[in-house]
Amino acid sequence: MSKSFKRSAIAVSTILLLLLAACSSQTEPGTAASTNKPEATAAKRITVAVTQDSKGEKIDASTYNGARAVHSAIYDPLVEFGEGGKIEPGLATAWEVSEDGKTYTFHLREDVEFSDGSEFNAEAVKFSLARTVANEENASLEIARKLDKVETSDAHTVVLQFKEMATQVLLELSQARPFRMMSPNAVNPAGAVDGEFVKPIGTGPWQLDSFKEGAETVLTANEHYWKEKPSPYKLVFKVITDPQARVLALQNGEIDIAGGEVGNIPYESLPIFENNTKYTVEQHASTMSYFMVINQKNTFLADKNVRQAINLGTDTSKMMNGQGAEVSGLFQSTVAFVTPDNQPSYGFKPDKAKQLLEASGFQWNAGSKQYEKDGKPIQLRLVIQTEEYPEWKEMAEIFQSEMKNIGIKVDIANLERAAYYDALWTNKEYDLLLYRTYTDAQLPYRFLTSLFYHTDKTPGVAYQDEALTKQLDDIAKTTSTAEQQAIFDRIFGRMHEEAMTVPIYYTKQTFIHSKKIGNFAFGDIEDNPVKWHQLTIEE
Amino acid sequence: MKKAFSLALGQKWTTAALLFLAGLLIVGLLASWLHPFDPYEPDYAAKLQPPSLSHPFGTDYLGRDLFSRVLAGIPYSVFPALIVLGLVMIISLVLGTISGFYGGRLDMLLMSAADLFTAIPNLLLTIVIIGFLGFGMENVYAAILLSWWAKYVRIIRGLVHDVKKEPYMLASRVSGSFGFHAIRRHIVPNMMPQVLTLIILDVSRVILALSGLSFLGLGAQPPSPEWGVMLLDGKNYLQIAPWMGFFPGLMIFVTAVAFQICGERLRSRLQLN
Repeated sequence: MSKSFKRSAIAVSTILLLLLAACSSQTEPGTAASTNKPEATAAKRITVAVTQDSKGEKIDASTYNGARAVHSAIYDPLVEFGEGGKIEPGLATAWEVSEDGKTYTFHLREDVEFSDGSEFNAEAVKFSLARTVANEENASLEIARKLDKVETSDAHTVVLQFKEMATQVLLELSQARPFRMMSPNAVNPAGAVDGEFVKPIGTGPWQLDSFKEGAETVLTANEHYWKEKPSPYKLVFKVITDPQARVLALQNGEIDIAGGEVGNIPYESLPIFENNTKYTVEQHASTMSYFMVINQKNTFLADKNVRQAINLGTDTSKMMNGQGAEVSGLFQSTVAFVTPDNQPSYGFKPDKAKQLLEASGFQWNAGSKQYEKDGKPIQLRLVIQTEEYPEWKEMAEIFQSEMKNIGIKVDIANLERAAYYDALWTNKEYDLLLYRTYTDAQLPYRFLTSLFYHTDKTPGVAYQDEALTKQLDDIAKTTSTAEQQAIFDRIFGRMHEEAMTVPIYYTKQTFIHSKKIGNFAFGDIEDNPVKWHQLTIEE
Repeated sequence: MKKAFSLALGQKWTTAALLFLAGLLIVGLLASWLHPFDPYEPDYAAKLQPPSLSHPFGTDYLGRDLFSRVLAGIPYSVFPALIVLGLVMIISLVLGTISGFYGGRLDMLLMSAADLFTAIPNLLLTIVIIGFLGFGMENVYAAILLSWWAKYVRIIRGLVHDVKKEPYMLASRVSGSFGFHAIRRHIVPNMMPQVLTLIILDVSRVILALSGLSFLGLGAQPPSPEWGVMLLDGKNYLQIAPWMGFFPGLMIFVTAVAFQICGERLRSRLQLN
């Protein structure tokens, strides 16, 4: 058999495969499901898709290793971030903040045990906080910057003394990481702040059962869980990087739940599940938005008129079939300090966009249909990734075509996850980069400082503006909500005026699970998206 | 097996394949006048429509007419394969003939280099080279050129050796014609049929490689209507809008087969192996 014939044969079979796949969509998805499910062993498994390796053996509460959802399944916070941003009791039942904002006293819940049976007490809190503060990755967090000392007046009272007024402490403590409580026994030698991490031991509903790198992390119920009844099942986070593979895995029963930030399902695939009796689609409000980071090193983008023109030329209502809420400013209305009128919107005004470009001295080149200055057309490199955010490709293409209409050429670079984050945090090889805001308690202050704040030593990540950095400093100097509100009003106004970002889309949380999963409930924060331990398997 | 293949694809198939390719060439050249819709302009009101009279291949997720995009894709999907292979042929003709005809140290050097390049599977080498050069169609062409030349230099060198042994070469030598003149008059014309056949047989491989690399996201980038890119777009909609992947896939398939049929036919006519 000749080589070329073999090759034709391969080509033929590829096409046949494509045809087969096309035909199979006519049949009910999921009919072949039950045959290849793993046999039920001692404890039944609930399998969830996750986009990245959860680094099972390194889920140290004080680090950023692995998926946030796994962190929050194992570790509990001192205080919880409740509905509408209200701080509620967690491992601390009550707390007091001194007038000057320098002393925080926490009264700890008694009778709480870690998953290894050891007692949760003030020493464990002291250890956890010290370990997180000692980790250089956390240097920018307020607690790490301002914490002076931790005192333990008795076994269940912890006093945090800060060098200066601290306003974000409760918010930082409530997040999925890195300030959650870990047992001193999790490191070797036990209790050593810089000890080597051995295994994750927390007070949360789950504990680590087993871990296969790049494949899955298996959690089993923490029998000592204090808040609610532990789950009778095992919770498996299965790594599936390709979005379409997650859809297929859900259809063939390999996984039971997918969606949210943990394992985003492409929105174009939703119809497969929406009108199907075998699946339930769950939706919930979110605080996250998608937006473009602007690299002001690009000479075109250093021009405010160009940045405003890009905003004016972007029709956000076209994104995701217009399923999202109307975009007005960087943050959703669910975000703290956002009021109906403190975030102005540019709206979709392509004609005004062109006027602005012309006002900046750009000339229309009728041949190339682009705006140019000194013979140089506006051409921008837009960096995206689709492993975690599959819908970004389509958004980028819509944006590309909208920019074409106002004479700006956009090249899309769809990078691998790691290369994408390199571009964002390290090498800055982009002009525009599609990114997302953080969520919940990290909004808006923590998010703004981590992206837009700069010091003499460390440059900011996204757009840098003296006025904005100063305003963020002001926030840190006040505990009064009313005063903070006034500063945030100015910040949002400044960001709008300077067009520091290009807001694109306000997300919703969407999860899909098979009907056999019961009692599905969203978590309080998006980084702990589902109350996994309450899930049931119905026969 | 090969015989059966050649028999099954008799004159009729060859004619059909040739007609198809000629049509493709003409449509490709005239693509920008022929397509009924703008292949780049989204029409959000007409998203994901199945094939119909106004959209014979349906529309994609941005409402672009797939028929227009498939037509507009010919210059990006088929022509580059021909141009790249043409370049491969020219480069390897020069290097192969020099190497085979003159021999010596240069021959050794060239052959060692060729060995190095042929030792690594073509596609793998292409991907590695793209890794160095970065994404984009120009880089893909360069990478294919770099990973394909070695094979041809080797073959051409072998052919040159064969031709050199022919009696007429001895005659030419005796009559005092040697060097460039002999290469131009005797060697190149005598091995051209073989080289051309091999090249045509390779067109389908290069078409598949080009669209394959674009499918992997390494080659053409959106909004290019290159067929591999369209196949990639279609991948995510396989269950909802199968036509998005089907038609570009069909075009890749039929075009590759058509080139293969012509190449096979040529090969059997020339009694080559």
